[in-house]
Amino acid sequence: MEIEEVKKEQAITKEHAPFYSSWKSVLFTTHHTDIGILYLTFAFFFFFLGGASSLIVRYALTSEGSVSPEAYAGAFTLHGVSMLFLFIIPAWAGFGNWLVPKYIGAKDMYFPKLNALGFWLLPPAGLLIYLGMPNVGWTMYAPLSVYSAGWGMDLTILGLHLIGTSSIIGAINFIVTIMKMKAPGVTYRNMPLMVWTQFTTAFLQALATPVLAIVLTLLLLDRNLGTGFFRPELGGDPLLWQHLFWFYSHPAVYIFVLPGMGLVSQILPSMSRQKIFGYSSIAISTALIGFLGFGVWAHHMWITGISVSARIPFMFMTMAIAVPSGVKIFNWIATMYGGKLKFSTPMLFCLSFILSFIFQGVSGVFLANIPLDYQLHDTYFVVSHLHYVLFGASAQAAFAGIYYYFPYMTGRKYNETLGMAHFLLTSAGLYTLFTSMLFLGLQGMPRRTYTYLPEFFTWNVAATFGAVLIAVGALVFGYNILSSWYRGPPVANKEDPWNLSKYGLREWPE
Amino acid sequence: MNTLEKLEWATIVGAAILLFGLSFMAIPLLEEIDNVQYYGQDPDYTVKVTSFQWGWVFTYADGHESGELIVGVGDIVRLEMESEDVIHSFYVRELGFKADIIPGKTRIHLIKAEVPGEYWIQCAEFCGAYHGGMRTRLVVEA
Repeated sequence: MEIEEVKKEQAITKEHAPFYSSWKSVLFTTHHTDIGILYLTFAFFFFFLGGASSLIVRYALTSEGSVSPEAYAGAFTLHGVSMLFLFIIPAWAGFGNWLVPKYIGAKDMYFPKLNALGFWLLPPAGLLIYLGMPNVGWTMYAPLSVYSAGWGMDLTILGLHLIGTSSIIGAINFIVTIMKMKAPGVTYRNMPLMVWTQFTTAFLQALATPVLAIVLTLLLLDRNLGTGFFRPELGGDPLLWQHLFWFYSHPAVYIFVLPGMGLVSQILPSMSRQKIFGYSSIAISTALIGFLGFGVWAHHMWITGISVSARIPFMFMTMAIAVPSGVKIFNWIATMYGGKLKFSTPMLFCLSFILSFIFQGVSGVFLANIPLDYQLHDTYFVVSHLHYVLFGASAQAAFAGIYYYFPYMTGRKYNETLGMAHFLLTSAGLYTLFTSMLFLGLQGMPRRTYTYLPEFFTWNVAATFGAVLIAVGALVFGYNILSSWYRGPPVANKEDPWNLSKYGLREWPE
Repeated sequence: MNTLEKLEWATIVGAAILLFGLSFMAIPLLEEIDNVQYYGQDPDYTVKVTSFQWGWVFTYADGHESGELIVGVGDIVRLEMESEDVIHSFYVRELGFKADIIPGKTRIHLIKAEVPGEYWIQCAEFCGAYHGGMRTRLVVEA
């Protein structure tokens, strides 16, 4: 090791001992960067568990009869619940915690202790869900979830209640922090776009998550106290579940993806070496997506038999939401136009994010069209569409964010070669996997089935091949991040590791 | 306003026109799908569809029951669908339609098969562990 590097190494360790050097400081820290790292660690732990259960699903679908139908149902449910509630939501809370105070020039979040509480509700929630082992799909449609035997469903409901509470606490903290703690000079007209997306997401969480709490409580009552909100034989209506559940879960789709768009809106200009194009149209489209997101939930219910007059306004709203989404894509591409692009790992993930987002947008317009949805609903077409959003967009934005902010967070550099390997494996895998699913959907393969007609076999093999590539990529990612965190080369300038000042840009406000 | 900004506005207006146009075009088709008549024609006969975990029973006008749905080619068949336990969904890929069957409600749908042959009727809404095996035949007799 060069003498220069040894000096830098010593400087890093001398600065202050990291919070994870003792159990006591892990448990009692209230500092926003520490909480942010805790959230991200938690999230990626469940990313690997959720990923493992998706491999069980893929294995079951390529080797007929090797996984029992019960285990198959458990695996795809656990995959959905883990990825949505235990990976993406905590990951965005983690990035938000680490970045929002820095981006608005605040010392910490407004309520540091509540912030710690928000995180510490999550480990028991994860434990409850994994003890419960739900097997009715992450959407938990009544009355199947009402009749589901045993304690598993109840434990899962309690776990989701904890996650909901944590979400609401975190959301209120973000709203107050952003409204009250902006440094002089940081305003709604110039705060970084990442903060705008976290701000919008926080409003969605604060307004929609209580509805999730209500519907979960009703389910708990139906299961344990003999009420009949969702039971037709007691005068209830199974459709009530879907209306209330999607009233939360459709805004939740934007909770899952908006902060990722925020990260891309930060990383893309830095890596293109010029300012973001159309700051205000990205900020306005973010708020507009958040607002419209509350009026589209019935598009999950096109074929449940609700009346034509109820479906038509929802179809127009769903189509309308494609416009602000398209505005963002235009602005990201325009940001790169004429820039000096630096094709580092985070930049590559941003580019793939944009491509995936276009894929999901196009398939989304197909699904929004109700007559076409009579054929496509509940087939692999939908599975492909939602994975282009949740993996192609959200997870890839999270990867981009981890690589981009890694030097800021740890003072060290990740391994660029391994980062590139991760990118190549992930993108090769994801476009193989989800495009195969698109074809399976067009062929008419229904989702959530442990067995299928022989004609679907070829594309299922292709899909499993893609999933394996993603899994290998994820292992490379895990190794790269852990080893670089432990002993990666220290960066020369921790305040500006990407040399933004050379191009007249800056990461944090003055 | 520079060229890029003009281009952006053109994209926004163009996309809005395209998407609203697609929605308007869907309305008459949608009303036809959910109509009680099949393009202005009354149904020829009714078949009662009972779905349960995990199978189908079809009851014909004469009281006869079968595990496969047997219809004549070109017949306009009125399906009266009910569920005995959880939500199921009646899906025939070649007919390009599926309909959720909510317990406690009767779902009415008209079908018309124009090509003789055998097709799969598959449950499309997850209804428990053996959901994938919940399929039977639609037999269209010449």
